[in-house]
Amino acid sequence: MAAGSITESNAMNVGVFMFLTSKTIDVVSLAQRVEAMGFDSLFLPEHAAVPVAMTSQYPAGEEFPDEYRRMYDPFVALAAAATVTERIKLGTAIAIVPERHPLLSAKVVASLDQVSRGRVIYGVGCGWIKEEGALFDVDWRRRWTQTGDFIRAMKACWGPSPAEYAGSHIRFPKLVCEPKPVQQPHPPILIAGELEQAVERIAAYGDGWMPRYLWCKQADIEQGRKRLETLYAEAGRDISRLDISLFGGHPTREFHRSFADAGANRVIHFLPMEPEAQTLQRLEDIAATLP
Amino acid sequence: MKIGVFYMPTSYSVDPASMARHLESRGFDSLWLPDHPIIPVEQNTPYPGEGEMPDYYGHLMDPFIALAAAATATTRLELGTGVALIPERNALVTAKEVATLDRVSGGRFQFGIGAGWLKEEGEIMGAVWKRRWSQTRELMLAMKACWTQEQAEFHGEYVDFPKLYSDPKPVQQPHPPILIAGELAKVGDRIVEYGDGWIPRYIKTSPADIAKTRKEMEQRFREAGRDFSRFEIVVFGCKPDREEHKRLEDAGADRVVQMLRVASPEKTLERVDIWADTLVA
Repeated sequence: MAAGSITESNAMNVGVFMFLTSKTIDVVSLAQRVEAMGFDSLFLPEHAAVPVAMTSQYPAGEEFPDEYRRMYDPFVALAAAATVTERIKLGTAIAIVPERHPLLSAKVVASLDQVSRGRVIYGVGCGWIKEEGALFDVDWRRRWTQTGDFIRAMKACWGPSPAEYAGSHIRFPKLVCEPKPVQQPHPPILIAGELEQAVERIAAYGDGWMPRYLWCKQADIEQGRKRLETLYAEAGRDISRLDISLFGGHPTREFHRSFADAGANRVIHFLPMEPEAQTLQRLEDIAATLP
Repeated sequence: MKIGVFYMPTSYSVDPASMARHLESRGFDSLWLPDHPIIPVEQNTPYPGEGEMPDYYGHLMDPFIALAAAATATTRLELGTGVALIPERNALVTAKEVATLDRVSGGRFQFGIGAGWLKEEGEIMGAVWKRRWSQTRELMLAMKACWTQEQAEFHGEYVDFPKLYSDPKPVQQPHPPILIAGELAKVGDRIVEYGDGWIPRYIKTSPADIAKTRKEMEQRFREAGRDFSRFEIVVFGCKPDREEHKRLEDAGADRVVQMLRVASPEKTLERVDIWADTLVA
């Protein structure tokens, strides 16, 4: 490992993810306990609305979980968490980029980075529920292109003012969209997906990768990292700050060590929907595996 | 008289959590934040205030994010948008943001809304400028469907979606109060149809206007079979003066919102403390 790289010590950052709804533990209690117990981060999902009629298949193959229909807006919830925490990163896993106007996303992400004093991780994806995308006029066949275009537009806003942009899916004349984020040049953008195209997107406009354990094992992480080293070198980018955050997996020391060796610097454990007391117990159990 | 404070949260102002905490400790009733997602460089719309539009309009934090940060720093302070620019936003995302904010604040959100005045800004953000109030009406009706129905749908000219789930629902029932900004005759129509209160600007509204409007709204609510008991008039801007507050209260205003100028954090908090000492009961 290069000196100063994110995984130099092969230490694993351990974060948690949850669908926050009006039936789960509240965001304040959750965030405070996540920080107090020594976790690295809290990640929340996004689905702004879910259509009743759906033909898209739930990726894990089971019945579509009801909590997908009921989750909190992640940015508002993370802003609430920001006030009651100081250290943990606050991330989206994942924000469905093409469903929101990129100028509003730029404003919201930067505002969240301000109120959290620079703790945002912007995990992003393009969405998998076609009928949901239709609610937001997503260009479904080209939704990754649209996502990349929207992210470039946001980076224009986070850069020097005034910003202007003309791309495949969004254009705007000179305008001011501040505040700037605290993190420079902006919060790390972690791109979801497990295919070859994911690493290409990371090299083009991302800062890291958020693959799912369901589709991505140690060898895939090693391979992905190798591929990114090549792409980054070609693009003249600094690989030392590459962030690989694995979504899902087994909360054990062996698992953490094994994936750290493969090149991941974070694992994000999934907290299922359950009553508050059980969530807190589960957090304690996972916290026992922290270094 | 309930006294709220409006200010401009930026990267160089008092942060929203600290401001909210301070306001609550000094006995203020509410915190109100502006909304301008972007400010275009080229503008042909005359600035409604004095001189040129100040730069800080382009530096304002998103109000839902800032109010959420304020929510968990407080327990009683009401948290309002003054005002959210509805045609610049998406109905489904905004419905979810409002409901989430109402949840994380335990039911303290006040939804002040408007349609915007800066044409070039509105158009970049998707406003159909000449029809922005028609557009706003549809967005608000669509949001109400999201907040009150397990499966919501809406079919309008500017907003159209099939049956969908929008959850969480807000804490306040049926939803946070919708306070509509404006001083022209049409604001009354809007409030009767989809609002719960009125946000007039002090510089444009006399106590006599307030009394007259209050009476009219009471009658129109009755005619429409609507409950007037929760109707509120929230006056934005005011001479920071007890006598003036009394005049507004006697005329029928429920809340007055003192508006802070942009200044250093130190000077800002000094001004808040002066207001607390001289205005808050």
